[in-house]
Amino acid sequence: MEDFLSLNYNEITAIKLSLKVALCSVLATLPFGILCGYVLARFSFKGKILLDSIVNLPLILPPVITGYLLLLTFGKNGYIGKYLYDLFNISFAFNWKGAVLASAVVSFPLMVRAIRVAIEQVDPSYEKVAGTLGASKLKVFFTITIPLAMNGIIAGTVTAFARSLGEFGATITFVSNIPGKTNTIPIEIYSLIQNPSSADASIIKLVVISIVIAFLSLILSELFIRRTIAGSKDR
Amino acid sequence: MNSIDINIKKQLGENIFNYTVKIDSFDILGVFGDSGVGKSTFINMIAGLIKPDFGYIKISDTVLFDFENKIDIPIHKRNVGVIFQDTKLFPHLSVKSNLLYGCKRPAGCRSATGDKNDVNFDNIISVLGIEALLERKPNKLSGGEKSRVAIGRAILSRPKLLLMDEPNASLDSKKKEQLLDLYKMIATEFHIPTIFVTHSKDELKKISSQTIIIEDFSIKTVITSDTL
Repeated sequence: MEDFLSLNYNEITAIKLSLKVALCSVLATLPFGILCGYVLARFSFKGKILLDSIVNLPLILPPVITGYLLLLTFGKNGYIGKYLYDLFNISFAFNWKGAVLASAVVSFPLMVRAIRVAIEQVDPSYEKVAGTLGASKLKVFFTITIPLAMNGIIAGTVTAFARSLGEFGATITFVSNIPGKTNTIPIEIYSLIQNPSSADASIIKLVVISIVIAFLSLILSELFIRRTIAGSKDR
Repeated sequence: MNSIDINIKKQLGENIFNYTVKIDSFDILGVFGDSGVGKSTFINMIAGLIKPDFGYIKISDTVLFDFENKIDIPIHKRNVGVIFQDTKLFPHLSVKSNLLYGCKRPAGCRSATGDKNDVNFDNIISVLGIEALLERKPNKLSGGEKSRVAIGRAILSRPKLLLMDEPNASLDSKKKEQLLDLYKMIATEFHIPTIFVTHSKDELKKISSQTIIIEDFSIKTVITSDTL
Protein backbone atom coordinates (compact mmCIF):
# COMPACT_ATOMS: atom_id res chain seq x y z
CA MET A 1 0.00 0.00 0.00
CA GLU A 2 2.81 2.38 0.91
CA ASP A 3 4.32 1.63 -2.43
CA PHE A 4 1.10 2.60 -4.12
CA LEU A 5 1.03 6.02 -2.49
CA SER A 6 4.63 6.91 -3.26
CA LEU A 7 5.71 7.77 -6.79
CA ASN A 8 8.95 6.72 -8.44
CA TYR A 9 11.23 8.96 -10.47
CA ASN A 10 9.72 8.07 -13.87
CA GLU A 11 6.20 8.66 -12.66
CA ILE A 12 7.04 12.03 -11.15
CA THR A 13 8.86 13.05 -14.32
CA ALA A 14 5.87 12.09 -16.47
CA ILE A 15 3.43 14.00 -14.24
CA LYS A 16 5.64 17.10 -14.09
CA LEU A 17 6.16 17.02 -17.84
CA SER A 18 2.45 16.59 -18.51
CA LEU A 19 1.57 19.57 -16.31
CA LYS A 20 4.30 21.69 -17.88
CA VAL A 21 3.22 20.82 -21.43
CA ALA A 22 -0.47 21.39 -20.74
CA LEU A 23 0.16 24.70 -18.93
CA CYS A 24 2.43 26.06 -21.66
CA SER A 25 0.00 24.87 -24.29
CA VAL A 26 -3.02 26.75 -22.87
CA LEU A 27 -1.00 29.87 -22.03
CA ALA A 28 0.40 30.02 -25.56
CA THR A 29 -2.96 29.45 -27.24
CA LEU A 30 -5.14 31.63 -24.99
CA PRO A 31 -4.58 34.96 -26.82
CA PHE A 32 -5.25 33.27 -30.18
CA GLY A 33 -8.24 31.44 -28.71
CA ILE A 34 -9.78 34.70 -27.48
CA LEU A 35 -9.10 36.45 -30.79
CA CYS A 36 -10.47 33.56 -32.82
CA GLY A 37 -13.56 33.18 -30.57
CA TYR A 38 -14.21 36.93 -30.83
CA VAL A 39 -13.89 37.00 -34.61
CA LEU A 40 -16.18 33.97 -35.01
CA ALA A 41 -18.72 35.37 -32.53
CA ARG A 42 -18.88 38.99 -33.67
CA PHE A 43 -18.08 39.19 -37.38
CA SER A 44 -19.55 37.77 -40.54
CA PHE A 45 -17.20 37.65 -43.48
CA LYS A 46 -16.39 35.61 -46.55
CA GLY A 47 -14.56 32.46 -45.58
CA LYS A 48 -15.95 32.35 -42.03
CA ILE A 49 -17.09 28.74 -42.53
CA LEU A 50 -13.61 27.90 -43.78
CA LEU A 51 -11.95 29.45 -40.71
CA ASP A 52 -14.45 27.70 -38.45
CA SER A 53 -13.71 24.37 -40.15
CA ILE A 54 -9.94 24.76 -39.98
CA VAL A 55 -10.11 25.59 -36.26
CA ASN A 56 -12.33 22.56 -35.59
CA LEU A 57 -10.49 20.15 -37.87
CA PRO A 58 -8.18 18.68 -35.19
CA LEU A 59 -11.31 17.74 -33.22
CA ILE A 60 -12.39 15.15 -35.78
CA LEU A 61 -9.17 14.38 -37.63
CA PRO A 62 -7.43 11.18 -36.45
CA PRO A 63 -4.71 12.45 -34.07
CA VAL A 64 -2.08 10.48 -35.97
CA ILE A 65 -2.81 12.63 -39.03
CA THR A 66 -2.55 15.84 -37.01
CA GLY A 67 0.80 14.59 -35.68
CA TYR A 68 2.01 13.68 -39.16
CA LEU A 69 1.01 17.06 -40.57
CA LEU A 70 2.87 18.74 -37.71
CA LEU A 71 5.90 16.64 -38.54
CA LEU A 72 5.71 17.70 -42.20
CA THR A 73 5.30 21.36 -41.24
CA PHE A 74 7.28 21.86 -38.05
CA GLY A 75 9.76 18.99 -38.15
CA LYS A 76 13.44 19.92 -38.54
CA ASN A 77 13.13 19.60 -42.32
CA GLY A 78 9.49 20.71 -42.39
CA TYR A 79 8.12 23.55 -44.50
CA ILE A 80 8.15 26.00 -41.58
CA GLY A 81 10.33 24.12 -39.09
CA LYS A 82 13.34 24.38 -41.44
CA TYR A 83 13.24 28.19 -41.38
CA LEU A 84 12.47 28.38 -37.65
CA TYR A 85 15.59 26.31 -37.01
CA ASP A 86 17.84 28.16 -39.50
CA LEU A 87 16.73 31.66 -38.53
CA PHE A 88 15.88 31.45 -34.82
CA ASN A 89 17.41 28.12 -33.80
CA ILE A 90 13.97 27.02 -32.61
CA SER A 91 13.16 23.36 -33.03
CA PHE A 92 9.96 21.51 -32.17
CA ALA A 93 11.27 18.12 -33.25
CA PHE A 94 11.51 15.45 -30.56
CA ASN A 95 11.45 17.76 -27.54
CA TRP A 96 8.89 19.03 -25.04
CA LYS A 97 8.17 22.15 -27.13
CA GLY A 98 6.89 19.85 -29.85
CA ALA A 99 4.60 18.19 -27.31
CA VAL A 100 3.31 21.67 -26.41
CA LEU A 101 2.62 22.42 -30.08
CA ALA A 102 0.78 19.12 -30.60
CA SER A 103 -1.32 19.67 -27.45
CA ALA A 104 -2.06 23.24 -28.47
CA VAL A 105 -3.32 22.28 -31.92
CA VAL A 106 -5.50 19.47 -30.60
CA SER A 107 -7.01 21.39 -27.67
CA PHE A 108 -7.46 24.70 -29.54
CA PRO A 109 -10.94 23.90 -30.95
CA LEU A 110 -12.31 23.16 -27.47
CA MET A 111 -10.97 26.46 -26.16
CA VAL A 112 -12.34 28.45 -29.11
CA ARG A 113 -15.77 26.85 -28.84
CA ALA A 114 -16.24 27.81 -25.18
CA ILE A 115 -14.92 31.35 -25.72
CA ARG A 116 -17.03 31.86 -28.82
CA VAL A 117 -20.22 30.83 -27.02
CA ALA A 118 -19.34 33.08 -24.06
CA ILE A 119 -18.76 36.10 -26.31
CA GLU A 120 -21.96 35.40 -28.26
CA GLN A 121 -23.83 35.62 -24.95
CA VAL A 122 -22.48 39.12 -24.24
CA ASP A 123 -25.28 41.51 -25.22
CA PRO A 124 -23.77 43.73 -27.97
CA SER A 125 -25.71 46.74 -26.67
CA TYR A 126 -23.28 46.96 -23.72
CA GLU A 127 -20.50 47.39 -26.28
CA LYS A 128 -22.54 50.04 -28.10
CA VAL A 129 -23.23 51.97 -24.90
CA ALA A 130 -19.52 51.88 -24.07
CA GLY A 131 -18.85 53.33 -27.52
CA THR A 132 -21.27 56.22 -26.95
CA LEU A 133 -19.40 56.92 -23.68
CA GLY A 134 -16.24 57.54 -25.69
CA ALA A 135 -14.55 54.14 -25.43
CA SER A 136 -12.53 53.02 -28.48
CA LYS A 137 -13.13 49.53 -29.90
CA LEU A 138 -9.99 48.29 -28.14
CA LYS A 139 -11.09 49.71 -24.78
CA VAL A 140 -14.56 48.21 -25.24
CA PHE A 141 -12.99 44.82 -25.98
CA PHE A 142 -10.83 44.79 -22.86
CA THR A 143 -13.19 46.51 -20.40
CA ILE A 144 -16.59 45.16 -21.50
CA THR A 145 -16.42 42.14 -23.81
CA ILE A 146 -13.61 40.20 -22.10
CA PRO A 147 -14.82 40.72 -18.49
CA LEU A 148 -18.41 39.78 -19.40
CA ALA A 149 -17.17 36.64 -21.19
CA MET A 150 -14.61 35.82 -18.48
CA ASN A 151 -16.33 32.74 -17.02
CA GLY A 152 -16.59 31.17 -20.47
CA ILE A 153 -12.97 32.03 -21.20
CA ILE A 154 -11.86 30.31 -17.98
CA ALA A 155 -14.10 27.31 -18.72
CA GLY A 156 -12.57 27.01 -22.19
CA THR A 157 -9.06 27.29 -20.80
CA VAL A 158 -9.68 24.59 -18.19
CA THR A 159 -11.21 22.24 -20.76
CA ALA A 160 -8.27 22.83 -23.11
CA PHE A 161 -5.88 22.16 -20.20
CA ALA A 162 -7.58 18.84 -19.49
CA ARG A 163 -7.54 17.91 -23.17
CA SER A 164 -3.81 18.76 -23.34
CA LEU A 165 -3.10 16.44 -20.42
CA GLY A 166 -4.77 13.62 -22.31
CA GLU A 167 -3.07 14.29 -25.63
CA PHE A 168 -1.49 11.13 -27.04
CA GLY A 169 -1.84 10.41 -30.75
CA ALA A 170 -0.58 13.63 -32.28
CA THR A 171 2.16 13.92 -29.67
CA ILE A 172 3.65 10.45 -30.09
CA THR A 173 3.53 10.81 -33.90
CA PHE A 174 5.15 14.24 -33.88
CA VAL A 175 7.74 14.00 -31.09
CA SER A 176 7.85 10.27 -30.36
CA ASN A 177 8.43 8.83 -26.88
CA ILE A 178 11.61 10.14 -25.30
CA PRO A 179 11.93 9.62 -21.52
CA GLY A 180 12.18 12.93 -19.66
CA LYS A 181 11.50 14.92 -22.84
CA THR A 182 8.26 13.84 -24.44
CA ASN A 183 6.87 11.05 -22.27
CA THR A 184 3.78 12.72 -20.82
CA ILE A 185 1.41 10.65 -18.63
CA PRO A 186 -0.48 8.95 -21.52
CA ILE A 187 2.74 8.19 -23.37
CA GLU A 188 4.36 6.83 -20.21
CA ILE A 189 1.33 4.59 -19.63
CA TYR A 190 1.53 3.41 -23.24
CA SER A 191 5.20 2.48 -22.95
CA LEU A 192 4.60 0.70 -19.63
CA ILE A 193 1.87 -1.38 -21.26
CA GLN A 194 4.23 -2.24 -24.14
CA ASN A 195 6.71 -3.69 -21.70
CA PRO A 196 5.31 -6.92 -20.17
CA SER A 197 7.76 -6.86 -17.27
CA SER A 198 6.65 -3.49 -16.02
CA ALA A 199 4.69 -3.15 -12.81
CA ASP A 200 0.93 -2.84 -13.07
CA ALA A 201 1.00 -0.65 -9.97
CA SER A 202 2.75 2.10 -11.91
CA ILE A 203 0.14 2.00 -14.67
CA ILE A 204 -2.73 2.11 -12.20
CA LYS A 205 -1.20 5.03 -10.31
CA LEU A 206 -0.86 7.08 -13.50
CA VAL A 207 -4.35 6.08 -14.62
CA VAL A 208 -5.84 7.17 -11.30
CA ILE A 209 -3.94 10.47 -11.37
CA SER A 210 -5.12 11.12 -14.93
CA ILE A 211 -8.73 10.42 -14.02
CA VAL A 212 -8.57 12.66 -10.95
CA ILE A 213 -7.05 15.58 -12.88
CA ALA A 214 -9.50 15.19 -15.78
CA PHE A 215 -12.45 14.92 -13.39
CA LEU A 216 -11.44 18.02 -11.41
CA SER A 217 -10.92 19.98 -14.62
CA LEU A 218 -14.35 19.06 -15.95
CA ILE A 219 -16.06 19.97 -12.67
CA LEU A 220 -14.21 23.29 -12.58
CA SER A 221 -15.08 24.02 -16.19
CA GLU A 222 -18.75 23.12 -15.60
CA LEU A 223 -18.88 25.44 -12.56
CA PHE A 224 -17.63 28.37 -14.63
CA ILE A 225 -20.07 27.60 -17.46
CA ARG A 226 -22.92 27.62 -14.92
CA ARG A 227 -21.71 30.94 -13.54
CA THR A 228 -21.75 32.31 -17.09
CA ILE A 229 -25.36 31.24 -17.58
CA ALA A 230 -26.41 32.52 -14.13
CA GLY A 231 -24.56 35.77 -14.83
CA SER A 232 -26.29 36.35 -18.16
CA LYS A 233 -29.68 35.78 -16.50
CA ASP A 234 -28.76 38.35 -13.86
CA ARG A 235 -28.32 41.10 -16.41
CA MET B 1 -26.69 77.81 -29.70
CA ASN B 2 -28.07 74.25 -29.74
CA SER B 3 -29.24 73.43 -33.22
CA ILE B 4 -29.76 70.35 -35.35
CA ASP B 5 -29.79 70.07 -39.11
CA ILE B 6 -30.50 66.56 -40.35
CA ASN B 7 -31.32 65.18 -43.78
CA ILE B 8 -30.77 61.43 -44.02
CA LYS B 9 -32.09 58.36 -45.81
CA LYS B 10 -31.65 54.71 -44.97
CA GLN B 11 -33.09 51.49 -46.32
CA LEU B 12 -33.42 48.63 -43.85
CA GLY B 13 -35.11 45.58 -45.34
CA GLU B 14 -38.17 46.83 -47.22
CA ASN B 15 -38.54 50.02 -45.14
CA ILE B 16 -37.12 53.33 -46.28
CA PHE B 17 -36.34 55.71 -43.44
CA ASN B 18 -36.34 59.39 -44.31
CA TYR B 19 -35.54 62.05 -41.74
CA THR B 20 -35.35 65.75 -42.60
CA VAL B 21 -35.44 68.32 -39.84
CA LYS B 22 -33.83 71.67 -39.03
CA ILE B 23 -34.26 73.28 -35.63
CA ASP B 24 -32.31 76.39 -34.65
CA SER B 25 -32.60 76.31 -30.90
CA PHE B 26 -33.74 73.87 -28.21
CA ASP B 27 -33.05 72.62 -24.70
CA ILE B 28 -35.15 69.49 -24.84
CA LEU B 29 -36.54 68.35 -28.16
CA GLY B 30 -39.30 65.75 -28.09
CA VAL B 31 -39.63 62.91 -30.58
CA PHE B 32 -43.10 61.40 -30.73
CA GLY B 33 -44.55 58.44 -32.60
CA ASP B 34 -46.22 55.07 -32.13
CA SER B 35 -44.20 51.91 -31.57
CA GLY B 36 -42.26 50.69 -34.59
CA VAL B 37 -42.47 53.86 -36.72
CA GLY B 38 -38.72 54.54 -36.63
CA LYS B 39 -38.06 56.59 -33.49
CA SER B 40 -35.16 54.45 -32.31
CA THR B 41 -33.66 54.26 -35.79
CA PHE B 42 -33.57 58.06 -35.83
CA ILE B 43 -31.74 58.13 -32.48
CA ASN B 44 -29.36 55.32 -33.49
CA MET B 45 -28.33 57.14 -36.66
CA ILE B 46 -27.51 60.32 -34.73
CA ALA B 47 -25.47 58.28 -32.24
CA GLY B 48 -23.61 56.49 -35.04
CA LEU B 49 -24.99 53.04 -34.23
CA ILE B 50 -26.66 52.82 -37.66
CA LYS B 51 -25.03 54.36 -40.71
CA PRO B 52 -27.32 56.32 -43.08
CA ASP B 53 -27.18 55.57 -46.82
CA PHE B 54 -27.29 59.23 -47.84
CA GLY B 55 -27.40 62.74 -46.40
CA TYR B 56 -25.90 64.64 -43.50
CA ILE B 57 -26.21 65.11 -39.72
CA LYS B 58 -25.13 68.41 -38.19
CA ILE B 59 -25.40 69.07 -34.46
CA SER B 60 -24.76 72.72 -33.54
CA ASP B 61 -21.50 73.48 -35.34
CA THR B 62 -20.32 69.87 -35.67
CA VAL B 63 -20.81 67.65 -38.72
CA LEU B 64 -21.27 64.06 -37.50
CA PHE B 65 -22.05 62.53 -40.87
CA ASP B 66 -21.89 63.78 -44.43
CA PHE B 67 -22.22 61.26 -47.24
CA GLU B 68 -21.02 63.58 -49.99
CA ASN B 69 -17.92 64.73 -48.16
CA LYS B 70 -17.26 61.22 -46.79
CA ILE B 71 -17.48 62.28 -43.15
CA ASP B 72 -18.55 59.62 -40.66
CA ILE B 73 -17.33 60.36 -37.14
CA PRO B 74 -16.98 57.03 -35.27
CA ILE B 75 -19.35 56.41 -32.34
CA HIS B 76 -16.76 56.95 -29.65
CA LYS B 77 -15.69 60.32 -31.06
CA ARG B 78 -19.18 61.77 -31.60
CA ASN B 79 -19.65 62.96 -28.05
CA VAL B 80 -23.29 61.98 -28.18
CA GLY B 81 -24.61 60.32 -25.03
CA VAL B 82 -27.39 57.76 -25.30
CA ILE B 83 -29.73 56.51 -22.60
CA PHE B 84 -31.56 53.38 -23.64
CA GLN B 85 -34.88 52.10 -22.40
CA ASP B 86 -33.32 49.31 -20.36
CA THR B 87 -30.43 51.48 -19.04
CA LYS B 88 -27.73 48.91 -19.98
CA LEU B 89 -25.60 49.52 -16.92
CA PHE B 90 -22.47 47.38 -17.14
CA PRO B 91 -23.34 44.38 -14.94
CA HIS B 92 -19.76 43.57 -13.91
CA LEU B 93 -18.98 47.07 -12.63
CA SER B 94 -20.09 48.88 -9.49
CA VAL B 95 -22.29 51.96 -9.75
CA LYS B 96 -19.23 54.11 -9.17
CA SER B 97 -17.24 52.41 -11.95
CA ASN B 98 -20.25 52.71 -14.27
CA LEU B 99 -20.43 56.43 -13.56
CA LEU B 100 -16.72 56.93 -14.16
CA TYR B 101 -16.57 54.76 -17.32
CA GLY B 102 -16.98 57.65 -19.74
CA CYS B 103 -14.70 60.09 -17.92
CA LYS B 104 -11.74 60.78 -20.13
CA ARG B 105 -9.75 61.75 -17.07
CA PRO B 106 -11.31 60.27 -13.92
CA ALA B 107 -9.76 63.00 -11.82
CA GLY B 108 -11.45 65.59 -14.02
CA CYS B 109 -14.84 64.09 -13.31
CA ARG B 110 -14.23 64.16 -9.58
CA SER B 111 -12.93 67.70 -9.20
CA ALA B 112 -15.30 69.85 -7.23
CA THR B 113 -15.00 73.39 -8.54
CA GLY B 114 -17.62 74.84 -6.23
CA ASP B 115 -19.73 75.78 -9.26
CA LYS B 116 -22.93 73.78 -8.81
CA ASN B 117 -23.66 73.82 -12.55
CA ASP B 118 -20.32 72.20 -13.39
CA VAL B 119 -20.46 68.61 -14.67
CA ASN B 120 -18.35 66.79 -12.11
CA PHE B 121 -18.74 63.61 -10.11
CA ASP B 122 -19.73 65.18 -6.79
CA ASN B 123 -22.30 67.52 -8.32
CA ILE B 124 -23.91 64.86 -10.46
CA ILE B 125 -24.28 62.19 -7.77
CA SER B 126 -25.75 64.76 -5.41
CA VAL B 127 -28.24 66.08 -7.99
CA LEU B 128 -29.28 62.52 -8.87
CA GLY B 129 -29.40 61.46 -5.21
CA ILE B 130 -27.31 58.34 -5.75
CA GLU B 131 -24.53 58.91 -3.19
CA ALA B 132 -25.58 55.85 -1.20
CA LEU B 133 -25.51 53.49 -4.19
CA LEU B 134 -21.89 53.90 -5.31
CA GLU B 135 -20.55 50.54 -4.14
CA ARG B 136 -23.53 48.47 -5.34
CA LYS B 137 -23.71 46.32 -8.45
CA PRO B 138 -26.46 47.19 -10.98
CA ASN B 139 -28.45 44.02 -10.23
CA LYS B 140 -28.98 45.33 -6.68
CA LEU B 141 -30.70 48.52 -7.90
CA SER B 142 -34.39 49.29 -8.44
CA GLY B 143 -35.65 50.44 -11.85
CA GLY B 144 -35.69 54.10 -10.84
CA GLU B 145 -32.20 53.88 -9.36
CA LYS B 146 -30.88 52.28 -12.55
CA SER B 147 -32.32 55.15 -14.60
CA ARG B 148 -30.61 57.69 -12.35
CA VAL B 149 -27.24 55.95 -12.62
CA ALA B 150 -27.62 55.64 -16.41
CA ILE B 151 -28.23 59.35 -16.77
CA GLY B 152 -25.32 60.14 -14.45
CA ARG B 153 -23.02 57.90 -16.49
CA ALA B 154 -24.07 59.57 -19.74
CA ILE B 155 -23.68 63.11 -18.41
CA LEU B 156 -20.24 62.46 -16.90
CA SER B 157 -18.94 61.60 -20.37
CA ARG B 158 -19.67 65.29 -21.08
CA PRO B 159 -21.76 64.80 -24.22
CA LYS B 160 -22.56 67.68 -26.57
CA LEU B 161 -25.95 66.09 -27.12
CA LEU B 162 -27.93 63.63 -25.01
CA LEU B 163 -30.30 61.15 -26.64
CA MET B 164 -32.94 59.51 -24.46
CA ASP B 165 -34.77 56.57 -26.00
CA GLU B 166 -37.92 56.03 -23.91
CA PRO B 167 -35.97 56.05 -20.65
CA ASN B 168 -39.15 55.90 -18.56
CA ALA B 169 -40.93 53.07 -20.32
CA SER B 170 -40.46 50.52 -17.56
CA LEU B 171 -41.21 52.76 -14.55
CA ASP B 172 -44.39 53.49 -12.60
CA SER B 173 -46.06 56.90 -12.97
CA LYS B 174 -44.80 58.40 -9.70
CA LYS B 175 -41.17 57.60 -10.56
CA LYS B 176 -41.72 58.94 -14.08
CA GLU B 177 -42.84 62.29 -12.70
CA GLN B 178 -39.73 62.60 -10.51
CA LEU B 179 -37.40 61.64 -13.34
CA LEU B 180 -39.00 64.03 -15.84
CA ASP B 181 -38.30 66.91 -13.45
CA LEU B 182 -34.74 65.66 -13.13
CA TYR B 183 -34.20 65.40 -16.91
CA LYS B 184 -35.54 68.91 -17.38
CA MET B 185 -33.33 70.25 -14.65
CA ILE B 186 -30.23 68.55 -16.07
CA ALA B 187 -30.80 69.80 -19.62
CA THR B 188 -31.19 73.41 -18.46
CA GLU B 189 -28.85 73.68 -15.46
CA PHE B 190 -25.98 71.70 -16.96
CA HIS B 191 -26.61 73.03 -20.48
CA ILE B 192 -26.84 69.66 -22.22
CA PRO B 193 -29.22 69.73 -25.19
CA THR B 194 -31.39 66.65 -25.09
CA ILE B 195 -33.50 64.74 -27.59
CA PHE B 196 -36.21 62.86 -25.72
CA VAL B 197 -38.03 59.99 -27.43
CA THR B 198 -41.35 58.73 -26.11
CA HIS B 199 -44.81 57.61 -27.13
CA SER B 200 -46.40 59.48 -24.20
CA LYS B 201 -47.92 62.87 -25.08
CA ASP B 202 -48.17 63.80 -21.39
CA GLU B 203 -44.43 63.38 -20.90
CA LEU B 204 -43.69 65.61 -23.86
CA LYS B 205 -46.09 68.33 -22.76
CA LYS B 206 -44.27 68.40 -19.45
CA ILE B 207 -40.69 68.24 -20.65
CA SER B 208 -40.26 69.75 -24.12
CA SER B 209 -41.42 72.86 -25.93
CA GLN B 210 -41.00 71.44 -29.45
CA THR B 211 -41.69 67.93 -30.70
CA ILE B 212 -40.76 66.06 -33.86
CA ILE B 213 -43.56 63.80 -35.10
CA ILE B 214 -42.46 60.55 -36.74
CA GLU B 215 -44.87 58.46 -38.82
CA ASP B 216 -44.17 55.65 -41.27
CA PHE B 217 -40.36 55.89 -40.93
CA SER B 218 -40.32 59.64 -41.76
CA ILE B 219 -40.43 62.95 -39.94
CA LYS B 220 -43.87 64.40 -40.70
CA THR B 221 -43.66 67.72 -38.91
CA VAL B 222 -42.35 69.68 -35.92
CA ILE B 223 -44.95 71.16 -33.58
CA THR B 224 -45.06 72.91 -30.24
CA SER B 225 -45.63 70.23 -27.60
CA ASP B 226 -48.71 71.96 -26.15
CA THR B 227 -50.66 71.25 -29.32
CA LEU B 228 -50.04 67.47 -29.10
